[in-house]
Amino acid sequence: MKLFLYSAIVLSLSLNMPNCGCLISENSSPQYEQSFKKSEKGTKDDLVLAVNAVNNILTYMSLAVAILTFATILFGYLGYKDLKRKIEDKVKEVNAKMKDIEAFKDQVKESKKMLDLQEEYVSISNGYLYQTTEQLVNQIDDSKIAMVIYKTLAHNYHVANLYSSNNETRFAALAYLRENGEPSDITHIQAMASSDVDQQYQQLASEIIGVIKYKTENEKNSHN
Amino acid sequence: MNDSKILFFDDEALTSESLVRNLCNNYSYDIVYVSSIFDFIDKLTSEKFSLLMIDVMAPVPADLEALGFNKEEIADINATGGMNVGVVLASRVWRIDDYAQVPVIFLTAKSSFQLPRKDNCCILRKPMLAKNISQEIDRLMNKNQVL
Repeated sequence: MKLFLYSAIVLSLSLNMPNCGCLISENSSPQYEQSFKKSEKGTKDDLVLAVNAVNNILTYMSLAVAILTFATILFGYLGYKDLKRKIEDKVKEVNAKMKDIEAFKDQVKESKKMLDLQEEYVSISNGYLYQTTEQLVNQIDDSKIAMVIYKTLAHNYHVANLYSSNNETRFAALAYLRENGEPSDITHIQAMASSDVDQQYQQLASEIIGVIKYKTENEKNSHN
Repeated sequence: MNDSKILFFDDEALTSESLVRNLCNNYSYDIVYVSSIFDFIDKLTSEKFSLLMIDVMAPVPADLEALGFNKEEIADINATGGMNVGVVLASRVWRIDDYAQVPVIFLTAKSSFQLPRKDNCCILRKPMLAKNISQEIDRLMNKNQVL
């Protein structure tokens, strides 16, 4: 508002300038007229014309400056309003996106909780299955048959444990598969290694894959 | 009924608890099970055991020096990344006067295993039926009594 007021004052002053010019030319003193009468008439007219010309230039320049100032202020104000609106729109947009991200984060948290719960459930089920079967296996009189079942049980139990979030369980599974792993287990060991955050376990997993591959190759060669 | 107490260390709790249950219920052994080396050392100093059952492969504990391992043992454990923790643990135990002659059963899934040069120890490959473990326990206990 202050800018508007300022520009209005400048404009009104500029518009009054021609009147000022007229005053100078119309109310010139008699002494001046007498002295001019003494000189040549052409010289007086030229001077008046020059003064009027300068006066007019100043008047129009002031007017132009006033108009330019006003236009600048007006465009500046409109630009500011437009920019402000654009920023507000962007802020709204960002806020909406932030809300979406927060909702997505909540969904991820919820999914992780569910996965953890499922992993725990699978782990417990795997444990119960092992314990129950182990008790049964130990009741079998024929040790050979019992051992065949027991080895299969232990193998499957450890393969399932590769996906456990418990470090000790995962280590035990890797240690077991280092000696008893089969080519079909490599997929599971690789899956574990790719998702494990612990570098030590990743290294151990890749070492075990190497051991299994080496053993398999050796067995093939010995058969040939 | 067997009066001797056995201390059993294995980092994998579920399978070990199941095995302990089998040995206690079906063969009447008195077994104390621990899943960490810290608890193992703690139990050794607070109670008296006639036989030890030790899992060979286990994760390397954080502060080995505080657990009484010497420099050579620590270097040995670290070099193998926990693949022979049980063997080093047994040698640490045999340095204790009260346990210098204690029989040890090593349990491992390893196919190749270098048994320590001691008379009173043996190796059992996992998985092992409770019946076979019981036979080995009795054998080592009897041998130790004769000695």
